[in-house]
Amino acid sequence: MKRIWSLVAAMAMVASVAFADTTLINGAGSTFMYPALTKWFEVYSSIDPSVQFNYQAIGSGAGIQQVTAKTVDFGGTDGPMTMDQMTAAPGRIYHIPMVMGAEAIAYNIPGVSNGLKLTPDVVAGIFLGKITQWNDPKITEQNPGVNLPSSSIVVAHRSDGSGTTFIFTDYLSSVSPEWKSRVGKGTAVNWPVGLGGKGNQGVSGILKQSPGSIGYVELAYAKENNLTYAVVQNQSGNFIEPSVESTSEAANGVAIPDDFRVSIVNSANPQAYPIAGFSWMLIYKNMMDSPAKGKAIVGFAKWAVTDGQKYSAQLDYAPLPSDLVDKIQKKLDMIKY
Amino acid sequence: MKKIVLTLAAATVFSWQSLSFADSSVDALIQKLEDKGILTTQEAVQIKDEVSTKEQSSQEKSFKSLLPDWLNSMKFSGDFRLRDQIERRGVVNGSASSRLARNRGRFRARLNMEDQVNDKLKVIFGIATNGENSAGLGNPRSNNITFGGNNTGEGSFNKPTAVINKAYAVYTPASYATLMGGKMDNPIWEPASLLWDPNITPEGGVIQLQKKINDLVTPFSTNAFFVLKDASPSTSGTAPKTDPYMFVTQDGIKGNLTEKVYYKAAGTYYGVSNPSHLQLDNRPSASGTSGTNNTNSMATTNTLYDNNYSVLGGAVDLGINDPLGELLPTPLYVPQIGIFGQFFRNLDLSSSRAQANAWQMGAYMGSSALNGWGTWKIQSYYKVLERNSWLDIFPDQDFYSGATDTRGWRTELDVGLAKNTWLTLSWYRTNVFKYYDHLNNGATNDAAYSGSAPENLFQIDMNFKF
Repeated sequence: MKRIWSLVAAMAMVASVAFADTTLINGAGSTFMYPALTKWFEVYSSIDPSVQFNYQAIGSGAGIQQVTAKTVDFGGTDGPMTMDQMTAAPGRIYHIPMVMGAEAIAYNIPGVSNGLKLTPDVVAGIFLGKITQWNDPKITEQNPGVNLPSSSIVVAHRSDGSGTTFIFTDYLSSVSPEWKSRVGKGTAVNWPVGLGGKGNQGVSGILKQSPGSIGYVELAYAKENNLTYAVVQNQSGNFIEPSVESTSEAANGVAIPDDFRVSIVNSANPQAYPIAGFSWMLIYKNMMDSPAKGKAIVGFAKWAVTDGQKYSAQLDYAPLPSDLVDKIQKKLDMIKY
Repeated sequence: MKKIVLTLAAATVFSWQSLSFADSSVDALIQKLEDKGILTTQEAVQIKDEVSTKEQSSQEKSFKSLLPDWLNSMKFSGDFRLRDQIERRGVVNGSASSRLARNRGRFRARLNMEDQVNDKLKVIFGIATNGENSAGLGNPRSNNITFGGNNTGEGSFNKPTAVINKAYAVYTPASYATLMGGKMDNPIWEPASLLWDPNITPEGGVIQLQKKINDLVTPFSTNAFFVLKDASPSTSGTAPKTDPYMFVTQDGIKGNLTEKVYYKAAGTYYGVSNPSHLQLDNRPSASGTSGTNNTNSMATTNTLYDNNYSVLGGAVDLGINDPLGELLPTPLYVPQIGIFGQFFRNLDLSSSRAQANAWQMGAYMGSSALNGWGTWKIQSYYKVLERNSWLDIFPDQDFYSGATDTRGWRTELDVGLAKNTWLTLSWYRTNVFKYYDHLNNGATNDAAYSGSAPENLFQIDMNFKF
């Protein structure tokens, strides 16, 4: 009899869990912060089981489109929305910084390991198609002792709309006037040279299959796939390796505007890696039409920018500076639901 | 060893997935491997990502593989508009015959197909409902079908016809250059309708150039050649042997003065050749009772154009994004506010001909695009089209039947209701120009303009885009 009562009690518990109110939050956008979001969702589900998340990593451009069309509850982007995009949205959208990350310039040069030194001129020259061989004097003079071949350089870039591309072209635009005028920055640009690959996987595939190739991928992705990557000269003239620490330095000393739409590429900090950026959650300020979702999103975002940062650090993201976290929390308090 | 374990883990996960287990089961397995220390957090996230990507990719591929390539690259779009139109034209000097009061139910449907032929070339084709003109042909200024029909062959639930609304090719040889040919969406920029009815899809060829220099300045140039009529060769002695055509060059700049302040300005020249002594189709009715008898100066029998048109002018649009910041309470959000103006003059008039100016001033406030509930826009402008300023076959047909020699207000409110659905309320308060001149000159008898009277036109539109 006791066993039956136990069974009934267990079933009642299961039923109460099954029928408990859950709030489903849909999001879409950035692939850059997708690993962090995935980890956060997983951990957060034990902190607030009443909230479930569904996030589609379809790229920043598509994320902006979907949040603008309100087909999702929040968006994710690595490139801030333009004013035109913001004025087309059915309400004020807040950019909430969630992670900071670096992009590695990865290459496949037989016999050359990690640490090839690249100056901004060289990076821009390669992606503009003006430096076409690995033994170009502009490369060799920075890399004495490195046996660089005379083979042609194969440039790989993203073919899809991507926040990763935004950060990289933002960097090139900030260091190269020619790049800025000829190509510019954006989630998708007209590349002067190169082969396009879809997603980090596509670029990585080109890099692995093509000796003499070079491309840009997220640092975590480069590490996971054992890609060799460069150290890049920053604004102070120091060659810096991409890392969690050097990414954190990129945000130090940068004046963060109230709307958080800021670029941290080509930082003036001497210890900063120059190709770094924020990823933002895009959240409507007015969520009074769906208060449960508003409360859930704000609760999650507050947790992610504080306690959640330790999980993102495991994934090679740099933690957000503490003074920025304070500002973000104040901004989140302004969301109405 | 670790590589083998990872491979086995991935293989297990993929095979698990292939047996159509729920995603949550796959996640649970990965979580278990992570908990046991077999996978790191990074590896777990990566495998989940790959599982998700592969699943999505295989579903997309299986569907797309069923379709031919040309269909895979084809995009469809369109819209449907349902309209209630209320027309009121007043009485002039007690002449009841000039009164007009009617309500009309109307609809318009358009379907567009776009196919990317290759990286640099696409073809656009569109069909639409046929807003017939008086000759029963496709009205270039309207695709409206009136309930019950008001034109030849309509009425008693007759089936209206569809027409080719557009058909053109777009070639982009470089990021800054576009070439177009065919019957196309109007490539000439106007901040609001002054010279062109928005439904017009001109026929000819266009070269467009645009190159961003910096955030402040992006020059653009549009150069077009439009054929107005395929004129039959004539031996009458006065008729032209060449087709009437229009050459347009529009050159301007646009950009942002600050992040919030934007502008666009352009000068435009329209050269219309060979319209003299040639009747162009689709001009407003010359009937004295229709209220449009004061349109362009005409030659013989009031049906043939008597002037050439060399129209020069410019337009400017100046606005501010997010002008109020967060000053207002949260639900009140003003994304954009702006003003605009246009001025054009027909330089090709003889000294005896006056009334050569067209101009417009207005303001707008609201969203830059309608994207569902919460987006809105209100716009109002005052417009003057003097008699010979512009060919009367082109202006907005809702603005006093599209005639010249008119002036008045147009005010419009758009409210987004749901995704791809919005309501538009429009009010045209218009009149014939000469009518006011006549009264201002102290005339007490307006018999010469017996059909000319103030007109109020209200439109309530439900719009659906797909």
